[in-house]
Amino acid sequence: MSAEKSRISAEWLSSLEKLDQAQIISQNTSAIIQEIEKPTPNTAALKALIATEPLLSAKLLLICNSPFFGFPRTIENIEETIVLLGYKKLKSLIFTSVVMGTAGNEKLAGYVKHSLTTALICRELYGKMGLPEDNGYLTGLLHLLPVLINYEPGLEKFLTVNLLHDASAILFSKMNFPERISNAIVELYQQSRHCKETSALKLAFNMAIVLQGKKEAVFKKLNNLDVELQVLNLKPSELADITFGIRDERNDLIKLIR
Amino acid sequence: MKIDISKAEGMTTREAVVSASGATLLPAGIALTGAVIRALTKQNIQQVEVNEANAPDNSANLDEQRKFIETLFEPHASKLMRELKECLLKKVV
Repeated sequence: MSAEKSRISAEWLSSLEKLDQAQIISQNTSAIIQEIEKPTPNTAALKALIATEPLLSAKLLLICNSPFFGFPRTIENIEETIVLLGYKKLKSLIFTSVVMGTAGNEKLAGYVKHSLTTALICRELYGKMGLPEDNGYLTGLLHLLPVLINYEPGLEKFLTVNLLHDASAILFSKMNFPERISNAIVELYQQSRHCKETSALKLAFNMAIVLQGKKEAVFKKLNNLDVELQVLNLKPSELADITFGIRDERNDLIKLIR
Repeated sequence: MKIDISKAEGMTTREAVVSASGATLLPAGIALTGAVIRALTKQNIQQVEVNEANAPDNSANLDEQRKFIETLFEPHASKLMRELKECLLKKVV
């Protein structure tokens, strides 16, 4: 890496380190997540917290009423959203809304689409392994969070696997996040790790590149996936089925960010 | 173009789909997946306005997607990766 690239990378990591939790996810959104994480979340308290964020409320209703969830009737208020979705799905939806919120920057739209695609594939892979699907979805959704929340023009030119590893480690150490999710994300960029969660995320990451297509792909190279397929005991045909199985759902979901 | 909902899978809505009572069930520009069609059928929707031009996957796009997959897999010669490439190519239809 050239001295110039090293300097820019170090500066980017340093600016990431300086971010506080509130710049990553608003204090109110953080309070919503904390309420959801309680052993017995309080629906009324959640409704009150969500109601104080008009943009989040609107986005939740928009997503909830999209074909992505396929409810046969219109969902008209937040309380209904909470009851119909359940707490785990609500958490996924809030983070989906946070990630989609970054797509206002046109240059980030490709990264957001890649994240959403990875999330859907990862959810399916987790389900196939008997792991919690919602964790798989969140792992895929947030694997590019350092880029989404701290994007700088020209970042693509110096974005390397090592830089993404360091950035993820810095970011997730700041966030009170389930360890298995943050570990899988950090280890995605650590080539030697082969646990099930990391393998699922790596497969999903690579298959998202395939589904994005040449025009939209923000990453243009595939990793060799022999080890990951073996770790999950997954046949190539099964991975192809999963990849193309989520295509319609993906297309419905990314329409919401336009 | 208005078509029978049973033939609309893979297309996108040109106009909002509205129920008999006037409620918007689906906005314009949404892909009609199997799940969406099932949900609309339950609401007694029999026909939908779709975009012909948005019918999925024209042949040029399919060729481009196949080429992209071939390019992505070019550096990978292992048996599993070759098999994965073939499986993915079969899905591009």
